[in-house]
Amino acid sequence: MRKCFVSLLISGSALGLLSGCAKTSPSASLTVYSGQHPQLMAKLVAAFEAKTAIPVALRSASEQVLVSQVLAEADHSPADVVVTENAPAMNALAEHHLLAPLPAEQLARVVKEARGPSRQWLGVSRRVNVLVYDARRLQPSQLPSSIEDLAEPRFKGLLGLAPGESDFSPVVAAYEHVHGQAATLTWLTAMKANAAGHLLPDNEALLSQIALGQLGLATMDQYYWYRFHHDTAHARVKMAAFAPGGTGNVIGVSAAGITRQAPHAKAARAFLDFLSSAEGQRIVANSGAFEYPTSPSAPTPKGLPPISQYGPSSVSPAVMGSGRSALNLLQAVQLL
Amino acid sequence: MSLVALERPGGKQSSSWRRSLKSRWLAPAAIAIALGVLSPLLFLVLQAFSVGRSDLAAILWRSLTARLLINTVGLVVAVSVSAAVLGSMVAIWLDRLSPRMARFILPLVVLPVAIPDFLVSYGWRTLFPALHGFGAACLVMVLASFPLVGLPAFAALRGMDRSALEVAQSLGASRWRRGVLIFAQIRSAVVGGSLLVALVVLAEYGAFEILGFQTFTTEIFTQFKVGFDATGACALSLVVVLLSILAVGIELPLSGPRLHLRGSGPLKEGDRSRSQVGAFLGLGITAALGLGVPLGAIAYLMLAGPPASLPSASVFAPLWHSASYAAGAALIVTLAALPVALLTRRGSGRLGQIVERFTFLVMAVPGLVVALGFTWATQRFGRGFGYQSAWLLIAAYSVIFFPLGLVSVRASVAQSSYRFEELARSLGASPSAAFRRVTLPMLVPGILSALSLVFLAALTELTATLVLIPTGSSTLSSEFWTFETNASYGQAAPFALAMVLLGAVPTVALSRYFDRRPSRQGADI
Repeated sequence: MRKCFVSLLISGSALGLLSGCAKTSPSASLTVYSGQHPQLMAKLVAAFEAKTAIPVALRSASEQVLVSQVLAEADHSPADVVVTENAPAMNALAEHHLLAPLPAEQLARVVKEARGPSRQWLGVSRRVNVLVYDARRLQPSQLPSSIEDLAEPRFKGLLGLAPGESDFSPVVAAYEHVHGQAATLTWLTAMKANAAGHLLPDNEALLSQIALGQLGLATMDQYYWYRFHHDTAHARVKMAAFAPGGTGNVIGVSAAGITRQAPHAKAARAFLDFLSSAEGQRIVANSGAFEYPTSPSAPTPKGLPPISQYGPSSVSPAVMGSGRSALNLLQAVQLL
Repeated sequence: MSLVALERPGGKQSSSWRRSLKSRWLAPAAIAIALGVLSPLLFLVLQAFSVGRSDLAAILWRSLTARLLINTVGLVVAVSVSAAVLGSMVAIWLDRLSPRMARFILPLVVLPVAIPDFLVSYGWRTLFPALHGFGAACLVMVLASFPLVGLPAFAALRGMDRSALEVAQSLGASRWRRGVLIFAQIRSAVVGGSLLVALVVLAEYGAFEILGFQTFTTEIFTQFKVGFDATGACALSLVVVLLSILAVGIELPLSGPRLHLRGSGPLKEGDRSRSQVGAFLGLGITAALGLGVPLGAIAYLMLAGPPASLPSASVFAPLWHSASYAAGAALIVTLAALPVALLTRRGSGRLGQIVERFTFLVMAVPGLVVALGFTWATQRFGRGFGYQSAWLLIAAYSVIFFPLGLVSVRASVAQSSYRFEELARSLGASPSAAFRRVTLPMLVPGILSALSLVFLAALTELTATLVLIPTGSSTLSSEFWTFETNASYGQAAPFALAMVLLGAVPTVALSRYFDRRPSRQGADI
C-alpha cells in the first residue's frame, strides 16, 4: 500500500512533467508583448485577427518585465511588436537600438505628441494626469489648482503618492523639463513630507485608500478614476482637473513599436497599421477603457469630455526619455 | 536493546564506505548539480560588473542603503527566529496528536505555503487597512513561511527513533532533558528550515510592496520598474547574495555536529503523555491566522468584490498548466537533491556541507533575475533555442526551488546512517541492494516532503513565470496577477482559491502517509 502510494505520487509527477512539456506554444504568425491593460489589448487583437486572419500570440506582463525581457533577449527575441503602457518604456528600448523605424505615413496618422522622438514608436491611446480626491474631506474650493500646489503644507497628511507607479515618472520628468532639477528636488521633498505614511505601490491602492477615508487626495491618469468609478461607484471619490495648460496635465501615451529583429516583420507592420487605422482607433474610443484615441479624427470616447478640455501640458513624451532621470530624482529624495 | 550513538562528521567509521561503489559518482554528481543550480549567479555577476564603478557607488552609497540594510537584516532575523519557534511548536504539537487527528490538521498548517505571500498581505490589509511597516511585514512573513520549518521538523520527529527517549524516561530524565533530546533530533530540520525562511524573506517582493515596507529586494524591483535597469538591479542583487552568504555562514555551525539516536526502531506512538489541549489550541490559532485570514480575504473578494471591467476567464487550463509545471519541478528537484543530500551524510566530511550550503544561495536571488539569466543564456549560447518552452520554465522553477527540496531530503538523510548500509553489506547485500532496501526507505519521508514543498512553492511563483511561460498559456498565478493588478479582485479570487485547493492535494496525501507510516516502518527495515 505504501509503495503503491509512493510510486503513484512519483509517476503522477512524471506524467505532469511530460504532459507539461508536450504542449508547445501555438504557431502564431505574430507575437505581441503587451504591457497595456488587457481590457483594451484583447479587443484590439481580436479585431485584428478577424480582419487579417493573422493569428496573434499575446503575451501580457507589466511593462518593466517586458522591457527587461526584450533587453535580455536581444537578437533572438521572439517579440514582433511591443506595446507599453507609457512612453518611457518605449524610449528605453529605442535607446538600446532594439526598435525598427516606422514608416512616415503611419506616424502621420496620430497626433504629434504620440510620435516617438526617433520615429520608433507611435501612440495607441492617451490619457491625462488629473487629481483624485475624497469629497468628504476636501471641498472643490480647497483643491490645488496646479501640481506645484501639492507641495503646500496644507496637504500634509492628506496627500498619497505611488512613486513606483509607471505613470508617475512622466509627471516628474515633465516637472523637471519645466522647472529644472533643483526645483524638482524641492518639490518632491515637500510632497514626500506631505505624503508621509501614505506611500503606496500603485494607483489602484491610492484609489481604494481614498475610498476608505485613509487619504485626502492623489494625482494619477484620469482613466484609473473612471475605471474605479465604473467598477465600484464610490460617491466620495471624485476627480478634478488641474488648471488648463499646467505642468501637471501631462499626457501619457501608450505606445507600440516593432522590434529590430522582428521574426514576422510584415505582420508586425500590418498590426501597427491596424492600431493607427480609423478602425483600430475607433476600437480604442469604444473599448470602455476610458482612454483617448491618438488619431485626431477618431471620435471622443462616450462619457468622456474632449481631451482638449483638460488643457493638456505642452510637454511631449519625447522629453520624458527612458525614465532614468526621473528615477535618479526620485531616488535622490529617497522616494524610491 | 537500544543503541545510542554520538557520531561526528569525518568519523573513523567512514573509511569503508569511501571505497564503495557509490562514492565514485556521488561527489561529482552532487557538485555538477550544485553548479547547475548556481548558474544564475554567473549572470548576476556579469551584469553587475558591467556597471561602471562610479554608477555602482552611486547606487550603493546612499543613506537609503543603510536604511535598507537595517530593514532587511532586522526583518530576516526577526522572521527566521519567529518562524523557527512557531514551526518547531507546530511540529511538536502535531506529533502529540493521534495519527488520525494529525492527518486532518497537518494540511491546515502546511497550506499557508501554498498561498502566495502577496495574497497573505492582501488578506491582512483588507482586514486591517492601517497595517503596514516592520511589524506587519514580520507577521505576514512568519505566517506565510513557518511551514518551511514545521514540515521538515515534523518529518524528522516522525522518523525519529524514540527508543532513546524511552531509555531516558526509564532513567528518570526530566521533561526538559527529554525536550533537549527531541530538539537534538529535529535541530537539523529546524535550522535548515529557518535558513530557508531567511532566504525567502531576503527574496520576497510582492508582500512588502503591498505593506509599504522597503527591503533590498523591493529596491531591486524599483530599478526594473522605473529605470528599466537590469544592471543596477543585479548590482543590488549581489548585496542580497552577500547577505545570504552571511546567513548560510551563521547556519553552518548551528546545525552540526549532531546527536543521533539509533536503536530498535521507532515507537508506534508519539509522545502523548502530555495533554493534547494545548496542542489543539496552538494548532487552531496558527491555522486560523495562517490559513483563515487569507481564505477569508478570498471569500470576501468573491462575494463582495466589485463587478469588474475584465471578462472572466476559465480556471481549468491555468489549473492544468500550474499543476504540470509544478509537478515537473517537484520531481526534478527531488531527484537532483538526493545526491547532494547523500553527500552531506555523516561520515562524508566537510565537502558535502559546503556544496549543499552553496546551493542555498540561489534562494536569495529574485525570481525575475533568475528568469532573465535563463533568457540571457538561451539567447547568448543557444540562439534562443528552447526559450519560453515549458521545459525552460520547469528548469527555472527547479533552480529557484532546489533548496526547498534539498532541506527536506536532508532532514531524512540526517537520520539515516551508513552503519545500517554497512551492516546489510556485511550480511552479503550488494551495494545497490543495500542502498535500495536499507537507506532509501529511511529517506521516503524526506522525499515526499520535498515533492510536496517544491510543488506548493512552484504553484505560487510569479515573476519568473511571467518571463518564461510559453506564450499563449497561463498559470493560476499569472492569471491571478492579471486580474489583481487591474483591480478586478472578484475575478482574481477564483484563481487564488484554485491555487490553495491544488496545493491541498499533495498536502493531504502527505499527511495520510505520515498517518500510516509509524506502524509500517519496522517491517521494511
